[in-house]
Amino acid sequence: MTAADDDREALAAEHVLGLLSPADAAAAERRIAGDAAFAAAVAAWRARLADLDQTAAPLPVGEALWARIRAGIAPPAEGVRASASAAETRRLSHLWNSLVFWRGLAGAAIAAAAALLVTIGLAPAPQDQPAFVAVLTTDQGRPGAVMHAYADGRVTLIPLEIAPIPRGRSLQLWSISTAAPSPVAIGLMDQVRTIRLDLGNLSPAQLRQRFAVSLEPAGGSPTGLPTGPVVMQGQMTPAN
Amino acid sequence: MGAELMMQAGDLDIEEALRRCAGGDDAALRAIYEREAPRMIGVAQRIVRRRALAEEVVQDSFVQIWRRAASFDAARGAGRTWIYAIVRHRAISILRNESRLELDADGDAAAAAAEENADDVVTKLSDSSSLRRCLEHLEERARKLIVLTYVHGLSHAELAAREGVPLGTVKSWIRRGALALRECLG
Repeated sequence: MTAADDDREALAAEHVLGLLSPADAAAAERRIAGDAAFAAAVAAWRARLADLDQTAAPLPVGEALWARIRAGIAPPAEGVRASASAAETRRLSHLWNSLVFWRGLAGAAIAAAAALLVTIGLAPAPQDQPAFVAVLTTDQGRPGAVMHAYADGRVTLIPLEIAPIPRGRSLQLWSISTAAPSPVAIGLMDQVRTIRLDLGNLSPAQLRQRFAVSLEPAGGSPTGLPTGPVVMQGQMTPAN
Repeated sequence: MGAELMMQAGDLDIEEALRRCAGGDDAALRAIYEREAPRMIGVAQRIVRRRALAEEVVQDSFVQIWRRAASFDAARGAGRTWIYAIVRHRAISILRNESRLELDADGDAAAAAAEENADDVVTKLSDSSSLRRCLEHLEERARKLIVLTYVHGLSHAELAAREGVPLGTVKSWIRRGALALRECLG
């Protein structure tokens, strides 16, 4: 075995063990895509160590977790995805207003918000099921991230197949509406992971239904408007 | 009927379930959830320590399994191995990116108690596992580092601090151990 073979093996082992820094791990993932020998070495290491996964004690899981997963894979309703009708837009705005209005109120407010959902003709969502889902797609039409908005006002963004964010750059999330002159920055990601968003700084009139993610300098756009390429975008639609 | 039986069976054919996921059959994802989610939570929680984060890991993993099922290639490995690679990758990525303060705030006391001894992990491997046989043949130090890294997601720096040796020493111990393990396992 040559020294190069040893290096490849050691790097593959370190990658599978989880020892690489996030940047090196991202580089290893890119190498898997283009270097068949390295890909085979990684696959072989995964197979060698896989029995260790089975030494983890299984822990009970409930239906709540499945409900969250189910909502994450649900395709947006046809038609709404293409373009929301005026009535739907109004209804969405109305609910958005109520989402923010109810946000931060404990306990009973969630029931009240659920009641409001009924009055505007939507099925009440259980507390841990998102009321709205957006699949943000890349310009190749591939799903890049899923946004969930919950009845209590929490909004999460779960990245799917986003390329690692280059060093010194951030991904910035924007809310966009034809009713407003410019996009509003609502979140920043320095690493590809699930983030929670605070939409409390949007006034009811500013609440939008369309979201986009752009690549920006670290820390976000210096101008307050998107300056880099839009890497994905999508529309919020009711989850059920 | 057949699908229902399969969902309850212990020996779910994960490769077949992944093919059905790729075809848009969400009952197949549900079958994987029923069969594997409890252990996936276990694997994730050994790494991220907190239950809420472990659930986040597993939630993200299932969404990824669903979206990426079409890219699963049975020629390159078993379906279960593929699924757990996604879980560990996600868990370690959250572990490395999460601020240590946040993890330490309410995680560490419980985590220290929950951390498993490397030899205990090895004894949980089946007697017939060649991984077990080969780990038992490794030098004790290398065995401990490799097992703790895999199951708890410890970094080079954390291992070096624990062992009280320089980073480079830990790296070379693991590297030598990995090559010996590969030699033994083929």
